[in-house]
Amino acid sequence: MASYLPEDVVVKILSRLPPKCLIRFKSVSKRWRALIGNPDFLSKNLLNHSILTQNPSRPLRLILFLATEKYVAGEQIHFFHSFRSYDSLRCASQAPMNFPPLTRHFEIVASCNGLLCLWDQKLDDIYQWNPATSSDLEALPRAPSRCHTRRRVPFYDFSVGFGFDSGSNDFKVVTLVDTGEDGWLEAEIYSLRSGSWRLLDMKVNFEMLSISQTAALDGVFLWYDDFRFGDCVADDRIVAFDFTDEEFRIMQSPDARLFCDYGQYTRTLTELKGSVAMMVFPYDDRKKNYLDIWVMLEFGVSESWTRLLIIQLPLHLERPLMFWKNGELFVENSEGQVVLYDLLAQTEMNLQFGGSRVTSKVVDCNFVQFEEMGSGVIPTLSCSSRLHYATQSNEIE
Amino acid sequence: MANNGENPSPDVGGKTVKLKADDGEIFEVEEAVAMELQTVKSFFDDDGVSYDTVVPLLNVSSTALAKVIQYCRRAVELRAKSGDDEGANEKAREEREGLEAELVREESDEGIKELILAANYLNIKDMLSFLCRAVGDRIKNKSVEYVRRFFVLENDFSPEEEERTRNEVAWAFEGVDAD
Repeated sequence: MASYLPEDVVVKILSRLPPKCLIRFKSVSKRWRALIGNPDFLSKNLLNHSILTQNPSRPLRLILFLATEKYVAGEQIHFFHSFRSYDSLRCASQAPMNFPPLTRHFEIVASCNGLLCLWDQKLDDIYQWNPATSSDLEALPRAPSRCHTRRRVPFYDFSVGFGFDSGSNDFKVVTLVDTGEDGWLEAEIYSLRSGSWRLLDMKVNFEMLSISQTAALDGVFLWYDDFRFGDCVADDRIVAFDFTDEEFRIMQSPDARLFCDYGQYTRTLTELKGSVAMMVFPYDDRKKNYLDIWVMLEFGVSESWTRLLIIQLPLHLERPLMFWKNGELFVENSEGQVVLYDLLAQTEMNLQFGGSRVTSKVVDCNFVQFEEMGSGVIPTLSCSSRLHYATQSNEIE
Repeated sequence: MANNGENPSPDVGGKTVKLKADDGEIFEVEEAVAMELQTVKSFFDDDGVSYDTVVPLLNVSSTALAKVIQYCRRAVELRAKSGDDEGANEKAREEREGLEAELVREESDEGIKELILAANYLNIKDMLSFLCRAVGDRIKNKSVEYVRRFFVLENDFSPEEEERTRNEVAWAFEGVDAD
């Protein structure tokens, strides 16, 4: 005779399963469908619990807040920063974190196991920086495509990605280079271990006409063409590069026809508990301030894009930046300050950090033990990386 | 009643407790091990219950009880080994994980459910926790039909409803083990 397990035990079993599984098991019975529930930030059910607790945070984690100084005419614009504990958001006081003299043109490409990759967009120089050991930026040798002397239109034909190859325990930088032929892009890859560049065999077709939204997570770097501010086109695509396979993959984003009523909108790619997330919100038009949050529950599977929440934000909270521990959100307000917004309680806390408007960045720095490995110091990996970077910068020249 | 061959008499000197399974078989267990079973602990926490009293565990089969006792005995030993030393703790943790894996490795679906019911009834928190995790791992990539059979559940959806749901979230049905 087959044993029947009581419901509280069933809940215990189900509470450990990943979202994809739970979504499938909603078809088991009506009772299970009710127990598992619908994906949305606000309901407490098994599915939301799974989505929001998939990848528990690890110790030794810091967040780096960056902003550029309020612009003063004629002055060189610099970044200023604050390292804070991921857990408490209090300023990290123990190890002094070094900060290099970054200027306006630097973009933080990504942070990966305590190593940051930066890109000087004016000169197309790429740097690595380890805040725990030095305030010096270490320049990478120039990317082969940048060795030509032609002047290029800024941001339109070159982009940089950064991540970790867990297979070979190596940090890699990848570039996308527009060949100028009908949207075909080439890629170059730099390995920190080898200290050299090589051209990848594969080409990918993707229109890179503007500053791409980018995000980094778990050994993958993503680009998203944020060119269309509000066009209702169904074919928005995301390009993902896997640092272990060294392969590109093209995925769809949520169907943009769903956003037709939004007027002028823009999107940010980010990470939520190890999954790719996308936030849709208004661009310039401040009559209404919605935030539409989607998550790709299974990486690479475009059909698995699931809407988690549409919420009205207070008007002064303009730019969502990054998710925090329990699904709270860092948002930049209209004064350029970083605010922590609790999506469930709909309360906010000003973190007293900010600079010029539309320049805040929040970078998740995961520090693990460092060990010498071959030449130079390369952080070792004890578990896969969880990263985020999203920005939207305005030219204020 | 005679002791089960798998359950040799404990050393003289420690207090023991007698547990009776659903078929009447009696297991004599060291007190420390018996107290891992919260249900047994509560039984003796009541005033006036002497330690000589045989604890009736009507919902637990003797096969399951034997395995539970074996697990708890090892768990108590391992807990005694760990302390302040991080190295020792790490080793103890690894050993416990090995013990857990060993317990479920050869078990059929029916067997593992029996163990869960025993751990649930006997209120052994750690054991129930890892058993639930083990079942989760077992069913993670399984089909809806497999899960219905495992949990003995009726499909109360209409064919149309089921078809509609499967089409809506077809991606969630990819990569599932064949039954």
